[in-house]
Amino acid sequence: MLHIRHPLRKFLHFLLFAFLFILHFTGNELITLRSASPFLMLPLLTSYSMFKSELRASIVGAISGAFIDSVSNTPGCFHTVVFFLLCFATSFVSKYLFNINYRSAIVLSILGNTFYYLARWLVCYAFSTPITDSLIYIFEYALPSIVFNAVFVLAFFSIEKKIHTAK
Amino acid sequence: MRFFFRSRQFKIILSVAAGILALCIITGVIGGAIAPHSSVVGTVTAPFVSLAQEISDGVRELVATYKSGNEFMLKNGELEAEINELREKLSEYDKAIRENEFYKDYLGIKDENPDFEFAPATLISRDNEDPFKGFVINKGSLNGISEHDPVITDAGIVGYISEVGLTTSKVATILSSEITMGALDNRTNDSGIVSGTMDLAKKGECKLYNLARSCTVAVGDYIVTSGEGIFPDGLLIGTINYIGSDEYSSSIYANITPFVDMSAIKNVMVITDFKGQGGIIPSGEE
Repeated sequence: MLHIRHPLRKFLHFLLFAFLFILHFTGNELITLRSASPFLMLPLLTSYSMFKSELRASIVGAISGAFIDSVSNTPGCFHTVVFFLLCFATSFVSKYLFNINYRSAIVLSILGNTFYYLARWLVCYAFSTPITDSLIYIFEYALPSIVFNAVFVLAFFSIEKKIHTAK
Repeated sequence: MRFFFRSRQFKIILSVAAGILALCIITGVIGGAIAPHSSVVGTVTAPFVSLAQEISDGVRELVATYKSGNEFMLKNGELEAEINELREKLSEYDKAIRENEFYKDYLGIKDENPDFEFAPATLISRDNEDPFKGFVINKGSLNGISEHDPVITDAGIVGYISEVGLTTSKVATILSSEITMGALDNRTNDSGIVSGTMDLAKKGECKLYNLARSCTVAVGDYIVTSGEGIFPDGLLIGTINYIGSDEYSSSIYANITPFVDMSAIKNVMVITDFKGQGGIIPSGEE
């Protein structure tokens, strides 16, 4: 069920995840555009999950989430839970409802990102900050980041496709 | 599709989900601590993240130099290169000097507050997704740090420890609406409450509200902690840059520019013990 057809795939995925993890959480603002800060792990996980089984996608999602929880300011297991659900849903939906192509990648990225930022807003800000802060978060941080991430998903989908079809 | 829900794969996924749910419950029960699995991951990855942070800082400084592109920055860069060369030659000696200087800055605070117990810490990662500029430091419960311990630099107050792991801790900054602390105008002794809002956090500022309409605060005044809440008294917060009238009450408010630049922090001190610690716990928590 979890067999690897090409040993290099595992290594390439490890490198990709490690690089994005470090890039995002070492405060590197090179890829930040005003208040839109792309969370590159999200488009990568979306693209990855589209090509993998539900089990593998959800486990990789949970592990990535655990890593992010160790350095993120969100409470408890937030990323572990959200990424687990996100990767499972993406893998499941792309297997039964979508075709695996660029258009699906963009749609799934937007849906997944919307789920992530809504969950983050609900857990972190909805009940603890004034309504104005909530609106600022949604319109000035979440929405631009969702759009920004949707652009990056094309690059990651292309990489995943290459890795997946490599012999 | 229905076969999937009867498959072995789905049963394993359900088991993993149950495991994660159990972790969430454990984390909720122990409250104030980093989730156990994240704590373990954080302990293992801390050295690598710390190294990556140093590299990232170097890259950021390099980019800042090229972005500004003026003569001053170029000259500064040349001088910095020279300094770096010297530093390489005397790295161990220089490290000791820097450490001494770092501790010297805190000596004044320690002299004024002999009851303070410090734990020095270094920033290892920032959360770019956090609008309030929270970050993670390389010290945890093994170093005597506990939840709600104040975090400062030699310039002033930074925030408090929001979650503690074994060897890492998460810091919520004073830009966050999570923090509310009693504060005083150092000149007039007018008191109010300092907290953050998302709008002000974008500019790196926070808000002093609940000021009486009769108060005499002015732009440029220094704001310090009053000692009410979880912070000791007399810690520098920042200066007033704007005074406004509250739309919904008779009080007035002031915007504060903190003395500490939250996006440039590298080293901090955690006050692990002080007289009167543990008096009042922040709002919204038991």
